[in-house]
Amino acid sequence: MSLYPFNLMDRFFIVHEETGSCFEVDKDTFEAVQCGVTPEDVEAVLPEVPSTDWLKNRLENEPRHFSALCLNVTHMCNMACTYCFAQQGDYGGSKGIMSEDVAKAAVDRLMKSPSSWVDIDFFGGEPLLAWETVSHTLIYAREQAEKNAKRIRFSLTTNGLLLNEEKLDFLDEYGVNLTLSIDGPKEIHDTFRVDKAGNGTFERSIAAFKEVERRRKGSNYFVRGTFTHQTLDFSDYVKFLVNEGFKTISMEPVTGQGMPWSITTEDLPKIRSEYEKLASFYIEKALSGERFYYYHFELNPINPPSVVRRFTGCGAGVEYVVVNPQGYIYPCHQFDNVATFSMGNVLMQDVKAHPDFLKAHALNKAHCKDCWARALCGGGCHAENYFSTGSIYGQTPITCEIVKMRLQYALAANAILQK
Amino acid sequence: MVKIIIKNEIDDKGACA
Repeated sequence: MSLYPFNLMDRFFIVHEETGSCFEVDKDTFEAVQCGVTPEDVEAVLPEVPSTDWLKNRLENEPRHFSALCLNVTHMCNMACTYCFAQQGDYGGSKGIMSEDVAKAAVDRLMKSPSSWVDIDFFGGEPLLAWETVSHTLIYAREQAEKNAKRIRFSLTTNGLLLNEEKLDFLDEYGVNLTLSIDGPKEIHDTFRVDKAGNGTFERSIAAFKEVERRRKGSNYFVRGTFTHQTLDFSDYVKFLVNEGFKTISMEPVTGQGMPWSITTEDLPKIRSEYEKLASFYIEKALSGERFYYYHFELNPINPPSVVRRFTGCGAGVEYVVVNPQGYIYPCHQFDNVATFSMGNVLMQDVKAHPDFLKAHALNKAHCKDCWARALCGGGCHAENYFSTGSIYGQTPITCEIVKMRLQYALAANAILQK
Repeated sequence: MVKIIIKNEIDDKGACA
């Protein structure tokens, strides 16, 4: 058994490494744990620990069902964001829009899942460029879910430029959760998020997103921003979005290395101080009755996912796959067009778990085995590891540090807000 | 003093829909 002690925001915490459980303790208990002692009152609350062999067998050999489908309905985009992992939407491959035949075939494969709860996400490029495919697929998928007695949820990521009243009415009718891309105030957003002519897109995006908030009043959408080496004051960007009326927010470090905007090791102290400011703001707003939701701070402490589920990470390549416009299946949207990881084509075959991804969990990664955050993190982002190191078993040290500091502030914020 | 913040038991989505 391993306990990881840390203190933050004038509080003392210990993490039970094998399960990712977290406890707030007094200073004496904290110091005892620091010295390698496990006090009786700590011992009494620790959850049961699965053996490593049992957990590995559960993750690698017992059935895990495909239940979340990302439809990359087009590689085309009407914007040209400098930092885009999808190479301005084309994924380094062909243009084109997913045909309804491909979309229906993908939905049919999803309906074969033993899971009673399935999800479909529309992604791109800019998915609203493929509106006919999106709208017809929503109709078809809901019909098929009813026929197959499955609970279904929909989501869609958009830059907002094509979001109009007619489309919003339809998306509202189908309860489509919207992920809305905006990086913060105009001068920050327009640094990277430009259209094909190089013009900033802030005014167009935020106007559309405010209409979403007006209709949905804080639920069933996220505004999602990206911060970079050149735009690091992300607590201010979140404050801006909250002050603009948005209630559900995420703000993420840009992925990739070696570019002018890439996060560097030297940025880490600044990023830590930004998370501290963000956590303080999050707590302050919650205590004043003006709570907003920040994706990485919502740990659901009352009803958390199981230890098994935590070690499966995002589920890419197993529970979650992407289908691209031509019907080819890949482990996740960031692996679209990476031939090494092709999983077939929905026009010809069912979705089967990718064997490499079944085994690419924290228990099999050298750098994760002794990491205190392994159960909470699940082993990191496969795509980021692959594109940084050439292996999904690789490690992206900067991202690991960011994930760990973010988890500490999430745990502290949850402790402070817990009644 | 030991206060439970989050306690994970040893099943039905992963977190990056």
